[in-house]
Amino acid sequence: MTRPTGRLAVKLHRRVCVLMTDTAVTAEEVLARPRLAADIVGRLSPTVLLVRPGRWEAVVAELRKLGHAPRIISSGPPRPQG
Amino acid sequence: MIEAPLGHPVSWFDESTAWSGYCQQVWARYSDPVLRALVGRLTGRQMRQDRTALLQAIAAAQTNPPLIDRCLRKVQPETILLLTWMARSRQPLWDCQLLLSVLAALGVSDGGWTIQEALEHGLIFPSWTQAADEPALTNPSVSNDTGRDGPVRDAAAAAWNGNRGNDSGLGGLAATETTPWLDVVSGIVRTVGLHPAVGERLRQQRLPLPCLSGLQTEPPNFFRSDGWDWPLRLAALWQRLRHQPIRLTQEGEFYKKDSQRLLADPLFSEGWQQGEGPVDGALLAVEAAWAAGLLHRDNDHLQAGRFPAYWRAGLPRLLVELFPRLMQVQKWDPLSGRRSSACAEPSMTASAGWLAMHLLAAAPSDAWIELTDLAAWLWEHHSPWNGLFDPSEMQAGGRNWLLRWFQAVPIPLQFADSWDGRVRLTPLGRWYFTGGSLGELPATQVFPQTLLVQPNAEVIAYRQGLTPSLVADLSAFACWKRIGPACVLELQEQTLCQALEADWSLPQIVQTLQRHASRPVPPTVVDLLERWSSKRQRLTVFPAAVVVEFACAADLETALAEGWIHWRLGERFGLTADGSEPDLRHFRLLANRDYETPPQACLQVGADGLTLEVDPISADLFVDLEVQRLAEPLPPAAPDGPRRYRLSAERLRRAAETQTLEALDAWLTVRSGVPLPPAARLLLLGPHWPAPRTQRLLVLRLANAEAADGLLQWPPTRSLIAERLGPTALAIAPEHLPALRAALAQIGITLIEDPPHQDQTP
Repeated sequence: MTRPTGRLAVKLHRRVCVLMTDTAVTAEEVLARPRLAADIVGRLSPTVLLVRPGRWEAVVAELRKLGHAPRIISSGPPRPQG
Repeated sequence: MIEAPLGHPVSWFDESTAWSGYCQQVWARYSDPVLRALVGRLTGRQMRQDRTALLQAIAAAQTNPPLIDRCLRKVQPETILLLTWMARSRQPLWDCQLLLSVLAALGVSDGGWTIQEALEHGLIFPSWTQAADEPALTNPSVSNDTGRDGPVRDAAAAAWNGNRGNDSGLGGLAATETTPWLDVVSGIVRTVGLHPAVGERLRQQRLPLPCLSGLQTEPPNFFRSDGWDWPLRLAALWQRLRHQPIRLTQEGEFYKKDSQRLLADPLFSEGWQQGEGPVDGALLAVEAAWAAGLLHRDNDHLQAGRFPAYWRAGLPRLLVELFPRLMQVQKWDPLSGRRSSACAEPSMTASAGWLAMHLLAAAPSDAWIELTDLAAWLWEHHSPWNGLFDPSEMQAGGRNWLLRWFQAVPIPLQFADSWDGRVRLTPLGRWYFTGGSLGELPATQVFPQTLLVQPNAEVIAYRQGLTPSLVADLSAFACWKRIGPACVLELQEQTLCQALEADWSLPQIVQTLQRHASRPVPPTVVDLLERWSSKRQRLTVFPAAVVVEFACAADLETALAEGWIHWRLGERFGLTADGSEPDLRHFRLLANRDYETPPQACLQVGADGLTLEVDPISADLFVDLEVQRLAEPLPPAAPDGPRRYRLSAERLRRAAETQTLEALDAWLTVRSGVPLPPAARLLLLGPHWPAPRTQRLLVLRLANAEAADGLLQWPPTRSLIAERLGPTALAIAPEHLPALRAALAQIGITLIEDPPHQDQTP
């Protein structure tokens, strides 16, 4: 990609499942779990993991089993709020 | 149960404009001749404008009292009775079977014709609900949409003609033409509706019901509910289903596992103000919550939706919204509990209940009506109901049925008082059935401090200070443990996380507790909430984010500084705050890639078979991560050149430990269009092949291929040839050279030999 003049040239990666962790150690913890690691494609940075397409619900379920409480940020329709 | 039309008003108290909008959508489905005929009857004018103008004219007419009054004067008294019933019940949407049943009890023998007349005059409308477009929750027999069901319509039309003669003008109708009353008769549309504005014109009409007499006294010990029994249980049920939705069979029934789970939950069977709760109270609660709009159906699952807006008003408003919804529940009987879809007369409970309430409304306001008197009237006039009991036990059975029904619906909803086997309407019930306005609803006393938060994270909620809004809020973040005079909730990590996921923040939750607590919230509880909440900050999942890839790190820095991007993901990648698409006014889009689609080829294999070059335009986020399992990064060939990798023996072999050669081949074929090149195979498989070895041989070059063939075939020379190297080249061992020379000499061939040379290899 070349440096543009004016607007910034970008490439958009749509519908990517991203798992962000607070620290690199937490990311290591996640990757150390074989059932989670199988659904992680790789690390975009020390604290950002890419999840296989279509596997985010399984990853969240597994994280909850391990006692985590992942925050889910979706730009889709709202969830029941009460 | 009436299935709410999706996204449309359902309540008598919804805005009139909302009802007009919905009615227009319904009429837009009418065929042109039917629509024009309807306009003519409703407005008294023959309009020649287009359909949009016709629809607007009908909508305007429905909210025009003089026009409605003129139209009402043209219809039969039975139709007026039908409309009066709907209006005085303050229930806009009605199941047709239920209406027919009620009309029969009121002495109208041909209810179908009455519904037809009301439909043809535009005074009521067919309601195409969720059931018409999707599998029904309650009635699987409902077919699809608006009348594409030709055989059903034909049969219905034939039956209708048979019953009514041909005066209804059916002869000219095609089977596929949308005819509202025919859709109703054939069962394609099960629900009809009355615009509340039309109903308001009939508020003063009376129903042909007797004025039952009863003891007129004011006993000191009669029972009146505080009205919280149902709202609390509906909120608790919402919470249970938010945690674990209910699965439905194809027939819309519950699975045994879900039924047992709900029936075993003491929240729905214990703690009712009158002592005993309804039979199968949990299952009735599901039906009621569905009717109240707290649940929604997602394929074969019934799950928690959002609390409707009327939960943010006061308790009386909530009760008058819940009452007609609970009254419409059909698959439940006060004595036997939940009934299946297949039972006969599914609307019997609802029709008997509505009739009983209207009988109370017709009685003097201070008269306590004996349940046996109500039962006797129903026995005489409501044939589906009296089929429930043996004639010998009519009196006791009917009275018991009514007692259990009153204890399940009107009394907990504060619509009826009870005293010594007698009932009467409460002021709220009388307000409802006499057509009071929302402004006349009784005001409720407010006790804002009604919670007690205990150090063990339990929350005691005193009923007298609750509001529907507070109940909805508590249901979002605390688990209902017990419902009684003082209700018990528990703050749990799971419910807190669910609240945070539903856009609650921790300060909001703590403030809600502090605002309504009679004593300060214990610091240990606040600490606990903070600890649970902080766990949630450790991991964030964006299920379907739009990752923005910049050309260089400097561009990413610019976007972050300008606030166009919120999150930094590595050196060149960023994300908006909620993972949605960035504002493209700031960016020039070079390419985009959808990760729900299969991966694309974006690698080019070099001539050496080892170098892989990434196409920056078609590459996705995964390709660099994937390729690094097999190859090591190389510096780009030019400063702005594409990223390059070289397949290395070490990485290839490490990858082969977890993947087969076929999988590696398949991956590279998808990503580059070619399988692993031979050079890469050599790196990967070389160590597994037999060791190569050197050998000293002489090359015998022949004039042509025939000569080579001959030497290979002729027995004296055949055994001397070690290998054929090519069409005209053969290899022989040095020690066979004299024998070959001699054999060739026998047949007159002279072998020319190179002069011996010095071997330079060690």
